Amino acid sequence: MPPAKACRRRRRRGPRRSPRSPAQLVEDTVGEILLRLPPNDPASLVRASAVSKTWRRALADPTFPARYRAFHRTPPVLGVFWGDAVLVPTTSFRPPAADHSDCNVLDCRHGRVLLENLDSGGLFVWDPITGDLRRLPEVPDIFSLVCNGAVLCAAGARCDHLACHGGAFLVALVGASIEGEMHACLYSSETGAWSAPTSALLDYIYIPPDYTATTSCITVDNVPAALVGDALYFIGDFGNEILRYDLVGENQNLAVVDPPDVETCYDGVVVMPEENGRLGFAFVKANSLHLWLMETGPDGYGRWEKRRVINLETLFPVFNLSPYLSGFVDAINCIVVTTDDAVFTIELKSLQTRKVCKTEKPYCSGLYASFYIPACAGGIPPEPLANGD
Amino acid sequence: MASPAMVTLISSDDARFEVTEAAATMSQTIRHMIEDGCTDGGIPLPNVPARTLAKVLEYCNKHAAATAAESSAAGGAAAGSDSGSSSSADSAGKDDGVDLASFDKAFVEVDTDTLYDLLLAANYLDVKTLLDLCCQKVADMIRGKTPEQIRQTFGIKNDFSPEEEEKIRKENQWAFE
Repeated sequence: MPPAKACRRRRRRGPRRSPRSPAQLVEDTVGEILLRLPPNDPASLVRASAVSKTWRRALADPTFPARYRAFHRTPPVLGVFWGDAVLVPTTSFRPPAADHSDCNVLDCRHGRVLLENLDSGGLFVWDPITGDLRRLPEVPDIFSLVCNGAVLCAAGARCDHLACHGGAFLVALVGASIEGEMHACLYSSETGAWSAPTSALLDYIYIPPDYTATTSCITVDNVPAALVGDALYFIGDFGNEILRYDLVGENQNLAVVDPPDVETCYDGVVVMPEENGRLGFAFVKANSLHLWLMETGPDGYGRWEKRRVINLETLFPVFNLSPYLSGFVDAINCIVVTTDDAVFTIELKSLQTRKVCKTEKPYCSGLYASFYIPACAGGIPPEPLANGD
Repeated sequence: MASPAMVTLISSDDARFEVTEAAATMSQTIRHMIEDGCTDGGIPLPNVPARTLAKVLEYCNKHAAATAAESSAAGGAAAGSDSGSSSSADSAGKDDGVDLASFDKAFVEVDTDTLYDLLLAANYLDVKTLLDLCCQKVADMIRGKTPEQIRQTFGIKNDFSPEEEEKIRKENQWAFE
């Protein structure tokens, strides 16, 4: 075999880029630079979009948002809710309409916020990135008391939920009726309607025959529900109950799941999705974070196993600061612990801890985590590039 | 051991650089040219002037040597990560991760013109880690600056009309306050 030929054989592994013109090289480079601006300073991306047309075009590239999210992977916490629906910023980002102070925050998930109006009880889904506010139709009559809800992307496991906040969504609601029955129903933005309610009677609730007040029912705690597979798990009765709401299937079933057999009524309880579609359960007691995991036994039934106990003092200052477990954020896989001093997130896998902000009010009702990438498509027409080939 | 394979690179202003193939092939662009057998009489790099190419090759030599040292050290005992900083010793085989990180940091402490030339060269030559390094440095310099300050820093012309600029500011007023 002639060696000269062999050495000329192409052994290219990856696809080779076609020759680029200087203008394209500059544009590529600007895109690469802007990719590295930190997500926890969204204003820097916006200001970059105002530098020149080349810079703006790099941001307007339709592939930029996906590349930016892939590069950074974890979205930043853009703000915190303290009970009412006023997003208190934790970065340079300011939402177009930050103030829905006449509403309660029921849930933050998949870039959306579920609001309940304090006066009318009306429900809204708010997108803080765009300011879009959607009023949901009246809740079925059977809900005399809305206890908790969850908003989620309708695409389920097919979506990474990093950029779906403008798409179709579902809202699940769990509430109680006067009779002490629990009800749940599901709203779909695609049908624009609530499903027929599904119910569960909690047999331990004793209601005297002459009882007429509306307060006899079990409470559903206002902590985020855990989305595990196609089911939502709500914490009820201060951690003494878990309500499982199956979102798919013919009868969207509502059932009670027992929590771990431990005294949990301490300093906050949450449920959260763990690896391999398992349900996790966490509570704080005496400055320690207790983590439990639902394992499926050989008989097919789930049983709780203690995963670990973490002394919070090893993670951040808690002495005399009353640490309280206030939630779980899907987007960053973090447990939220609030102390008298600050709000912290603890990543569930690595236990990496981050201080989000100082504590402003006693009750932290949600963290809003999302990428903010300015939409630069409008305004500046793309200029045709001189092509090198 | 045989002396390492060398290649000749020719800058846009016709300066010739002799480098090891290991250093040169940190550039994917050069690697492809070598694989295609286009090395006779040197590899022309019409987009990179000598001044920039010298700097890029300084980076490639350092990193290629570190990679070589790493793979040869893999057989022996691993060097302690904190075994003193021999900053004067530039010879191959003594680098560790800490050394390389401080080299990288110092490498991009240059004026903005040089930084931008490096960035364009790293992009054209397709030296991934150098491109990462330069882009991150520029991104760090952009942070916290107004559009006007960014333009001044990097010598960028504002080609927006006043109306266009006003419109952009109005869209996201919060970012400019």
